[in-house]
Amino acid sequence: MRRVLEPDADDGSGVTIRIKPGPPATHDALLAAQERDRLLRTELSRVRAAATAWRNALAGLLTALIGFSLIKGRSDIGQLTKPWAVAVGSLLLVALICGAIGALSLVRAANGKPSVAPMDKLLSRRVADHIEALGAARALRRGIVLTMVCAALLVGAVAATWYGPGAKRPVLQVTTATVGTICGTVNRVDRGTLLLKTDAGEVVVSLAEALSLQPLTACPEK
Amino acid sequence: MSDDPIPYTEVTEPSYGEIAAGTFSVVEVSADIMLLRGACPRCAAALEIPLVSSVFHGMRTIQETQPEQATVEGIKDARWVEPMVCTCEHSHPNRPEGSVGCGAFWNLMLTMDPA
Repeated sequence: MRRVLEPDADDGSGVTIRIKPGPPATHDALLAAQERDRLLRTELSRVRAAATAWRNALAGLLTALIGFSLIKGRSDIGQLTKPWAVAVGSLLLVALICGAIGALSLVRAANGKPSVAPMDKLLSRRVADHIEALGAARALRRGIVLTMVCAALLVGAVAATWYGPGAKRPVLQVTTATVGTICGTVNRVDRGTLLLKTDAGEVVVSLAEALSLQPLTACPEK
Repeated sequence: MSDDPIPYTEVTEPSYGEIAAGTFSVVEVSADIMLLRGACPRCAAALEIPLVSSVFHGMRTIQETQPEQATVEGIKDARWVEPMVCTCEHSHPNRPEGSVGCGAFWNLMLTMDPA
């Protein structure tokens, strides 16, 4: 609500603001009034500069984070067990939402938002700047928090993908001189023999004949 | 009468508060923002001086130390002294670089009470 209160006048809301001469002003009063004016006069440019700095810093942080995730561990959530895959997918979805809202909040804080106001609703320029500065500061705080949450969720998602349990058991590829190359999951090791479960059924391989043993996440396509 | 602008001088007189009290009005923009409008008692420039409860200050927000100004609704009989200074952007000789106004300063007593 916007209302004009004349000196010694009731504004209709049950509150009267009276303006009277104050006590003699001192040099401290001058400094206080000048500081208040200086803070308000520069408020919007200061919050814009802070928002721009934060936007650039957080963009750098996210870029570094993406670079970090390129240090390869497991990168396919399809290789995780289903509950872990669902959890990682959920983390990525929430991270995406937080990141998008955070980025838009930072852009809004740094650049404002386009608005068209009716002439009769226009405020004093200084008051409008103050209101915009407070809105930009709120958007900046929101953007910082959401971007940091986004980064934390991305780290969590990458860690869960790396260290979560795999959906498939690891397999062993054995090469022998007589049988050739066999790949399958290990069922049992017993008295120098290896029982592998392959696509063609169970195969017993003598470890004494093995030329090479290679653990794999999946058997190569034939 | 000369049209030369009056020089910048940081000065106060008892009459400044009396003149301003008679000419200034208050616009209540919101519960946390008021706007004082009136003429400078020295140079007669039109002034708009916002009174706010908080202001952005670096990466921290200064909370106003005068809680009487924070809300209109919560405080019905607040009374406080508001230091005022001319903040016009007219030309005044001898004004230091980066400063505004003609240098006049004064105090106003604002009283908020039930009608």
